[in-house]
Amino acid sequence: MIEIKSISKQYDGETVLHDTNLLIRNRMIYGLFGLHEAGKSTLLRILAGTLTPTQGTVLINGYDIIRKPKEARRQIGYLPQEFPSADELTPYEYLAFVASAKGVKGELLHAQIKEALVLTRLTAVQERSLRNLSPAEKQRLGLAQALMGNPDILYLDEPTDGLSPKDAMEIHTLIRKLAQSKTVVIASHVYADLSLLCDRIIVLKDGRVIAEDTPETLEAREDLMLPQVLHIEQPQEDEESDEITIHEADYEDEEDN
Amino acid sequence: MGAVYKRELKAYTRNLYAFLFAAVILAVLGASMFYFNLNYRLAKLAYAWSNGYTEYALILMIPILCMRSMATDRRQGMDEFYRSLPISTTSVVLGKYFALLTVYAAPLAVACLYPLLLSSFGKISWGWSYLILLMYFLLGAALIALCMFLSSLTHYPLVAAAMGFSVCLALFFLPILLGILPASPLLSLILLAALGVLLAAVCFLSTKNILVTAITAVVSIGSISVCYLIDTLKKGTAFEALFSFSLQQAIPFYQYEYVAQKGFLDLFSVFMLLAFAAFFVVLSILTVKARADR
Repeated sequence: MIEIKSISKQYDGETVLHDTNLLIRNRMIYGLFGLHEAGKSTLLRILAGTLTPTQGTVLINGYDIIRKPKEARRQIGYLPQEFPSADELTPYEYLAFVASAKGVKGELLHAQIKEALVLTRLTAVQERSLRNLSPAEKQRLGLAQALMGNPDILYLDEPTDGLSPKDAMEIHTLIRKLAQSKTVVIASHVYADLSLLCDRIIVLKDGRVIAEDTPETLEAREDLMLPQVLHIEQPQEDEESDEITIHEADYEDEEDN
Repeated sequence: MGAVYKRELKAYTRNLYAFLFAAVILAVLGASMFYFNLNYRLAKLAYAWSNGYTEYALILMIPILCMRSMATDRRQGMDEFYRSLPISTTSVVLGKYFALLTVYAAPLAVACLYPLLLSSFGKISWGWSYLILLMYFLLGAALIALCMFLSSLTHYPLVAAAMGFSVCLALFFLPILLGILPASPLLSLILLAALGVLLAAVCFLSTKNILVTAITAVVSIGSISVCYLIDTLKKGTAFEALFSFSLQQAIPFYQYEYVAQKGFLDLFSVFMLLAFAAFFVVLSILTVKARADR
């Protein structure tokens, strides 16, 4: 659970995030929606501990991100908007570095890396240099590194930005799969993406939270002027589940190879 | 720290700069030994390794080795990513610093064979030979800390390299310039106070922390002023050429050449080189920490 209490952030005297109070519950997908400079990335960076708030506190599973940063950061996996790739390393080495930084050692380290590589379908390229990966593969690696240390919470900043629709759909499928056991917070300026993925959406405008509810409820509100999104009906969701199962079969094939 | 150290070291082994660095250092140390020791039949390895060429090699190569250490992280957003991991900024900077030290130590470990090679031509001073290697390592450690700090100030590796090269070159020639300064006590006071202001300005620019800046300024300028007053009241001569003397002591090249010429392990020189390195490592940590709040 993430408790956000009276968070605000100022840059050079200008307030970019105003007195924000939120409660993010476990095992749900939350979306942070807002247009450019609405404050969603600032909020996500504060939640991830990469940016210090001007005032307020954030409790991650009870740990204060400022006072107990190490304990709080162990609870989270973070995919920044621009995933920093160390070009000299291979995906395996990169994941080993992140896992090691999160205190994962020995057999568990190798098991977690292997699991993440299979889940993100990167086993075939695990020994390839990062500079030779496609944008979609790099984004999947970004997701894989967020899984190191088996955190309870995942923060994903614009996870499908710059990807083709096909690659974006693949990332969506992966996020849904991960959300079965984790709390996921996604920041995006594409409302349709969030509407299809999230259980609840937090709408930000000019650094203020102006609404927080389910996608259906938010879309019914005329004052928010959100785009209407065609939600997938139940039979199609089943089809989606099948898709994940097929991917699982693929992973096994990949592993066998 | 271990995770960052391993990651950095792995990156350097895939990087051309580290191999180029090792090759140049070994070539310069070897060529100096061949030219000065074998050509002129001199047994002192310290003579060959403290005549300027070996220092020039460091002035040229260390900024190139260090240029990416912090600047690339800043440009690629890696420094922000580090802050999302359960590791402290101190661990990150120390991990990077020790990885750079390891890369630097690798050619010096090979250079440990050079005295053995030289000994096959005649009798050499073993202690002096390995002492100069130790001091060369400490000189490099000090310059690496300085260049790593300069790399933390910019996004661009080439700018970091240019700054590192300029500052290292200035440090190399500074003892000569200091030697021609007048020995006036008042001039020493003014220049030392100016140095205190400069130090405080560097602290503010890198940390944006007014408390750290104020403490630096008050401690440095205050202590110098009090000492000057005491010295003037006692009609002493402590401030005559004090600026030149004290600044010389802080310059790594000066300490390195001092030990190379004397031929014994001067603990004060070792302390000054380590203090120089520690100062810039701490400044790098404060710089990276300060950026997290912006």
